[in-house]
Amino acid sequence: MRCAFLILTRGEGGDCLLLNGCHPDIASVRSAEAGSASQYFKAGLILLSYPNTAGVDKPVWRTTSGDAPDVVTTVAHYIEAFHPSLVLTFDPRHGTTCHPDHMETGAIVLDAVKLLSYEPDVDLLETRVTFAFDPTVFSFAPAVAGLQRFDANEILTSTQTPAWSEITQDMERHPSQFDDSWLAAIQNVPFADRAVYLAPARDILRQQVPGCQ
Amino acid sequence: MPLLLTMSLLFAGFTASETARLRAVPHPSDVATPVSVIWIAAHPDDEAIVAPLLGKCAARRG
Repeated sequence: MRCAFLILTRGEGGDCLLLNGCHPDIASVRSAEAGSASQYFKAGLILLSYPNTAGVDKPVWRTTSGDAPDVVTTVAHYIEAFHPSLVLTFDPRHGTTCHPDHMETGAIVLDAVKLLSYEPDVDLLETRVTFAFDPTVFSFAPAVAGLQRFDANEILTSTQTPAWSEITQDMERHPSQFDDSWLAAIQNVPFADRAVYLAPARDILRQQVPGCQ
Repeated sequence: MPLLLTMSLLFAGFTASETARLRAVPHPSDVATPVSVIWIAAHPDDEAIVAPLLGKCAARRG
């Protein structure tokens, strides 16, 4: 499977958990981490620099300036260039975690695919993830019933480890964002909840899916 | 869904709509592997949520 990541921001809105700080700045550190993660998955990486919001307000990425192409056209061009058979992104109604950047990303992608010269499959991530802290606890659940479910307890032929362990592998490549408490929380997710839920956009968008308050 | 199971449901007295609903739910792990995929996200690290799927990136086996 040929893979690529298209990431709209450099993540400068995130915290820095590195003991010695994030130098020269959090965006640079997280950009490097994105490179490390994409290298792990042998995926191509396209890293853009739209501003990362603080997680409260809707991002204003659609505002254009000068003769720069708008974000929808930009995303469409990158999809066209990679020419994937499947486009995978967030459901704009919940963004998995209700982060407004996730939700806007999903909305932009759905607009972008309308501009393509071909019709790739478009799947939306229908896993809902919630967090609690002190101690850190993750909860993974399907957004609705009846979704495609990838059982992350499956043993991958490439690594001979459960697919779930790929989360830990990825998080270890983002040390500015995830410390040992986050890694432990992933390992504490019940086996029955270890799954990734997807749905074709054309189907799931016709259904009522709980959004964000 | 296997043909025999589908047939058995039909003969077990399910209505057509009930059968259609059951057939719409794939078996666990029946997520087809695409030829190529682009994951489009907002932030570095968002891919952690789909990392179990990304483990199927074929180039890793090369």
